[in-house]
Amino acid sequence: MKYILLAYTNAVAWETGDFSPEEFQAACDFYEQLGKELTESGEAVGSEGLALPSFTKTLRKQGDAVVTSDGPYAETKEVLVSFSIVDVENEARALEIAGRVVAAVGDTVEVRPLPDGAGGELTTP
Amino acid sequence: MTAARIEDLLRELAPQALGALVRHHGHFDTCEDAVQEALLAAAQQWPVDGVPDNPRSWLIRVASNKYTDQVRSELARRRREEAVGQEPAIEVGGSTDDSLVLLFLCCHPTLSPPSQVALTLRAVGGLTTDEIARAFLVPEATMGKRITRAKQTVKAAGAQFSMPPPDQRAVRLAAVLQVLYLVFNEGYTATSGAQSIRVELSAEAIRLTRLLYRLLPDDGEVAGLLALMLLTDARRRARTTAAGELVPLDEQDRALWDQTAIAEGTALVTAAMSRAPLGPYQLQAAIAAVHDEAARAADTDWRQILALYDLLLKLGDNPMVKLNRAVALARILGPRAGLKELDRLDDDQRLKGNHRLDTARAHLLELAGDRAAAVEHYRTAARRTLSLPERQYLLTQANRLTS
Repeated sequence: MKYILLAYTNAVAWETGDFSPEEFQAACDFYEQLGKELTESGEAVGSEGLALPSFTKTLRKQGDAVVTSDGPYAETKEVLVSFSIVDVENEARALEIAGRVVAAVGDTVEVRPLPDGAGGELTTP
Repeated sequence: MTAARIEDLLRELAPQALGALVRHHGHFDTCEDAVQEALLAAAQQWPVDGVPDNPRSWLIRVASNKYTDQVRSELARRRREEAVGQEPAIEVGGSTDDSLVLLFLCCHPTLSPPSQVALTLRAVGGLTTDEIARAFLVPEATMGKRITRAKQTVKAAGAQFSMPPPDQRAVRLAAVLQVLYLVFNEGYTATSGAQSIRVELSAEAIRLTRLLYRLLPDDGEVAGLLALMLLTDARRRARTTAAGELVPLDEQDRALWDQTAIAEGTALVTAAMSRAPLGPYQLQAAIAAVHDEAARAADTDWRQILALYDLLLKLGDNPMVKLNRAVALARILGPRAGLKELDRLDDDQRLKGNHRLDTARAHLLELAGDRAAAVEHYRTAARRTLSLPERQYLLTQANRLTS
């Protein structure tokens, strides 16, 4: 089953670069190590870090028009910073990987299954 | 010979060549790489130069050369310039029994199910890593690592290239059947996305199960699984609309069912049940056969289906079987009787949050005339399923009842 791991971080700290070079290096090292492990285990599907939230353009529908505005969806303190997709045996394994990100980097991580377009057999009564 | 025929031939020969190589050299992991290289070479050369007179020994010879090359370069890397290649010639005669040993090896208990599946498709099925990766919608590098790691795990476990000891045979065979069924379902339930690639997985699962059936013709569960696959796959064309929407069994156009597959599957399961001890695959195949032999949905012999579910429950306590049994019971005694049975499943932790319980309840409530409750359960089921086509189907049912 594939899961997407969505990591959220504090918007202000990220935009202002409010972290020490050591912290930054430690996070980079952690992600490099994790990436290596998941590639070796054959569980890595894809992973990207995002650009700063200020580069975001948000599109939404207003009436019949599609309106583009600058910035993320809403005024939130936590913004999406990276995502990875893993293909793992079960949810417990996805949570284990996400837990390591939380412990090492301090970001909040959402774990959601990725439906794959398959459907079971429907036997109606 | 056409490229497609050559591909079929190569897939058939792949496990035989691998078996011959492993018997001769040992080292399953290195031999597997060598056979893959030989398969690639054949896929490139045969369509141009023609198929060799004895394709099997060609493949074994080329794979063996690749193996020797690999071992040589390995040795060179270790600066040990000992000569290889002075070994006696490989026994080309070999039997297809090697395929069975390979299947057991690929479904080794130290491997996780996804790894068992990947290794089986490559080593026994002769599929390339890229083909397997596309079928499971993961990058080729990911699938490559999964296969490499699986081979290392098998090696580290000290697995031998021989049949499992008799006392483990049944458990190990069950794992093989489970893997083949996983591959089949992966292909059968695909409704969108890379559908055509995934559908080939069902064909591949049937091919490998046929191979297993040839090797173990007296095993009732092997025959049962092959029958179950054929009887299920027979309905493929009727199972979804052109737009990929799911069509429930009752509403399928039965003229689209594959009667040849149904006849073969029915004969297989009938023969198996009359001589082998009953097992879950045989019983599931028998249920599929009862559905398949009904010319119209209304002709379905629900009493026989109910009896088969009762037998399945005797083999083991399984909440999904109980759920299906409740549905069959509803067709005989009416929806209220079925709903009563479903109520008894509410406390089963194994079904907690499972959309199938909500789906069954919604259908039965609709049959009982309780539209409002049916809509509610269709919507709950739609919320709970992880399958997009199922979600679509369930929401359509809810909307149909509210409009």
